[in-house]
Amino acid sequence: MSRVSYLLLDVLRYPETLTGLTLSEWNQLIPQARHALLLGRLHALILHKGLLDELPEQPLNHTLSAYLASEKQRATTAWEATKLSRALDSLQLPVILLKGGAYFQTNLQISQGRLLSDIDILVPKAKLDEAEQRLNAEGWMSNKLAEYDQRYYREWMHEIPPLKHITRGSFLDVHHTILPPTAKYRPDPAKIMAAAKEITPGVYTLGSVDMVIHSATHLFHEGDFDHGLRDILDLHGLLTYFGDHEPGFWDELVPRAIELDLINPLYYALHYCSLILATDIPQRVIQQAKQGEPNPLMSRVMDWLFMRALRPDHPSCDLPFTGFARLLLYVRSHYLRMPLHLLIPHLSRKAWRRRVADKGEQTAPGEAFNIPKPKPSFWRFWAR
Amino acid sequence: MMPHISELDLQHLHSLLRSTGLYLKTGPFTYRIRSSVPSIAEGLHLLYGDNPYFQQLDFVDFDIRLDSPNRLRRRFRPKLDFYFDHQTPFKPLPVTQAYAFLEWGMNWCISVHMNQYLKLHAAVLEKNGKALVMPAAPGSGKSTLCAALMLRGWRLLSDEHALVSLQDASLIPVCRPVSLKNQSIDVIKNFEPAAVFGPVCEDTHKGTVVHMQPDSRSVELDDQRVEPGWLVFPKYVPESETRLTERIKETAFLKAGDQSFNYSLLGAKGFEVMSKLVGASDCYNFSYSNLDEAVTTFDKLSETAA
Amino acid sequence: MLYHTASGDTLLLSSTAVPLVARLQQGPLEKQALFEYAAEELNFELDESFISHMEEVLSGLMKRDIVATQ
Repeated sequence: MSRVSYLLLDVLRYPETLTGLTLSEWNQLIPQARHALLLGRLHALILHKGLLDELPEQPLNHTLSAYLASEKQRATTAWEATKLSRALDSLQLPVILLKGGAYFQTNLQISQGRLLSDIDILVPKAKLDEAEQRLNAEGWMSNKLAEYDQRYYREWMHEIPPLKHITRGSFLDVHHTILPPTAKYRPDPAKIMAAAKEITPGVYTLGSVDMVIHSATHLFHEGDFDHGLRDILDLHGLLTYFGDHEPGFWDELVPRAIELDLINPLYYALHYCSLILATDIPQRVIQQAKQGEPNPLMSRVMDWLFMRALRPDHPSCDLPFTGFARLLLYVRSHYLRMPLHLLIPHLSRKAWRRRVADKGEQTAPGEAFNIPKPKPSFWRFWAR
Repeated sequence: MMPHISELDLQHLHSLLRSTGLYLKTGPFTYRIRSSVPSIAEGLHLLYGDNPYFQQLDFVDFDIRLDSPNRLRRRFRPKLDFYFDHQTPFKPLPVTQAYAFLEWGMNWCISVHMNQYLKLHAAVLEKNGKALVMPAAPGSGKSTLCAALMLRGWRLLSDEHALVSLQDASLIPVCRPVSLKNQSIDVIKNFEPAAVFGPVCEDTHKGTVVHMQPDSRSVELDDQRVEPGWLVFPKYVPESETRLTERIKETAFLKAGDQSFNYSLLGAKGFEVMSKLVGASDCYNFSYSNLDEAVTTFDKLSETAA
Repeated sequence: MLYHTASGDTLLLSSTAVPLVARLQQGPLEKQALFEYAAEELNFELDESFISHMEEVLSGLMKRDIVATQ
């Protein structure tokens, strides 16, 4: 099948072409990158390739802006991780960071220019209540929620609703598994936690292989493709980095995915990384992963769907029926999260987050036009 | 020599706004503006009359459009959406608030993006080569004061954004119309009958809002940075005496930080630049009720620029 | 004024807090010695009221994670 490319993808794959872009092309690239949440990453790429002085200033103001925001998040994540490990230390609970938080703390290249909306941690289900209490005591609170929403999280999804810190304003998501217990695939969280590695005292990340599998599961089983391209770039980055730096990585990858019942999303990850980004994956691994391949008809359908959904959500990148593809995948993700008989109307996690955080996709002009000025954390120490 | 926007025929401007858009440069930022709403064409024609007219800009910082999402909307309950590229960050507003929506949207673009400056919510003016920065706490009356100072010879850098250079803490202009609301409108009309005002927008969440044209000299010098001079926290107190009192830099720092869009985001750099700005400025509290006296006070202050 | 890089907090230190923080930036110190140093710098008697005030300041600084014990 043809892969119709677009400017952002070309530039990410061949950064040296940046020096040849006209201002008109930049005028297309910046909005694409913004919609794909990749403005900061683009800047990181420019820095990495030493192209800063060769490129026009105006568009680079935009990439720099996003990059600066990301660097702030790096610092904030480090602080939050410190605070979290102190908070949960008394429970002998390791703080296992997931996703973006982990990428920042381990200084992976894919963390450069990244923006997070929250920090995700993994704790054992048995300690969930204690953990919640300790976190509440240290200032992380779940907002006053409607009865329905509380139940959605606690009873149906078996999770604590997202927490917000009362003075620092940071968001925290506490997980006890990487897929809901009602989902089609059942990875054993204990196995995942056992393989976690400590990076600073009390702060852990998933093992490298698990990190990749988790990222793949998150992308191919959640219905959220707002940052599909970013996610596939993450996978490419993780596979490339671990493949190059960790002996045994390629050999462990497929067997571990099978062990965790997640060979299906891993297959998709490897398949689309190759297809879209030409990731260098050893042939033997690709062959092994075919165990996770769906039947040929399904394969073609998935290709059709994912090749659309993994593009930035911008008109200049859309193929025909992209909107429809995203909708189908959204529905599919819910089907995968809960069997049909539990699939009742409910808020998606993102929609819930919006309500909690008062960060609407659309703010009422009154709120917006008093642009929130993030309250700086100022502290005074006065003499009596 | 580039033509100015005022030299365009209004009809031509209107049709531009409905098709390829108007390219506008204010301060370091470029916009492409599109809208089919007549009041926007009129407002732009009048209030940005002294701005240069660009036929085409290959790259713009902000591609914005104000329009009704569909024809039905346009006929029955006319509401406008503000599009930034293809996103609509705000809920729609009635078409009667179109011009205010445009200016607010243009402000939002700067406030929320553009972290290559330290940004304060403040009015900035220049006299004798130094910048007066007035952070905008609620009730400060900063816009009224800002308008009055501009009308009495101070150069306007901005009535909304203090853009502070990360390199040397100099103030960078982004000269745009001054927004006035409710009673301030009449106050300024009385203060200066020759002042030029754009479309009046009533019943906004801020009450009645109107924008005043900046003077042509301010627009002309829109690319000239200014070094810090004074950091003044104004407060409009009805019936009060005019009072300018010095304040210590440390608390001025904190108060300025409260009015910043990205002080926290810039981390250590933000601290460094704010320190430079506050360090290089004489800091004052200012309370007033009489505009003429206020202007006199600031004029006297500007003589300390030597 | 101080910027705390780890937490991103900006701090306005009172005159009595300044010598504490300044001295600790050079390296850790026993509490008693620290108070003696501060008393010296500020030209105060090392008496009960001074010490109790200093304890307050110190605990405030610890709460904000600027100072820790080891």
